[in-house]
Amino acid sequence: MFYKSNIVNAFPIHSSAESKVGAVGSTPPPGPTGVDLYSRFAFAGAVCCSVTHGALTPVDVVKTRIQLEPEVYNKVCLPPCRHFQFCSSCRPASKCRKRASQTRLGFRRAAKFSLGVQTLALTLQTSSHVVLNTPADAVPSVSSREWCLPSARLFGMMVLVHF
Amino acid sequence: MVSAFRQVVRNDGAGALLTGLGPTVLGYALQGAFKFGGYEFWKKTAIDYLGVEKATANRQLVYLGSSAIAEFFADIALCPLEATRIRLVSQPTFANGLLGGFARIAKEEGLRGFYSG
Repeated sequence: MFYKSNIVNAFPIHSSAESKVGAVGSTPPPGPTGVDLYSRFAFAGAVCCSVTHGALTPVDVVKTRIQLEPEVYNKVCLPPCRHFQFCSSCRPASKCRKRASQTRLGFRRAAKFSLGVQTLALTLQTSSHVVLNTPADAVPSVSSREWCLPSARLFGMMVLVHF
Repeated sequence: MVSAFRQVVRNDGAGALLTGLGPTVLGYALQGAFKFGGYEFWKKTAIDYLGVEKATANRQLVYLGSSAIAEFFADIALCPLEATRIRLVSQPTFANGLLGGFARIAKEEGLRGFYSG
């Protein structure tokens, strides 16, 4: 049986999984359609995004300030970033890499990294399914690929941000 | 990042951390509405256009396509508010908040100011 939060009763939008359950037992009452349905999706999206981004405003402020004035706000940085510090703050312009090659290098490393992480995550997930002997249907609707891609991208971006 | 946090609080007070809260909340409310509402809408549109069987066979493509279209429009809605937020953070004397900042960019730079970059 699926876990159902009370909030869902206030927003009666049924998932396909629920309607399958309903076919066996009781049929769920019809949910809203058309403009009513999509305005509910839009409302939910608006609330979620504004709450999460509103809560992260302080982090956003600090991030923007670091980007605006790296020499003032980012004295302490992650080890790999020591090699790629901002030109203006630490060394003469002539010692800097040409910008384009810097960008190419950064994206190449990010791509290598995110592909590597993605493959690793997919392998781990696949093998865990094999070990647990879970049929593919029992896995929640979010497929493993949809989880692995963002996490891999996250690691890729963490590499890219130093360039 | 932690030291940058402390520096901001020390130099400008803890209130400075909430700079641009208004544009952030409104901007991402709009973006979220277009993104999640739009995603479901474009998915439905794609399924209607392709037919259920064809759409089921290419479901990853339908998901990717409809999320791309939704995000495209969502970010167009977000852009002016994000421009206002960046301005408020980068120039603390620019305006008092959402309304002031938005009105000033609109008056001084017009539409171009909101979508520059």
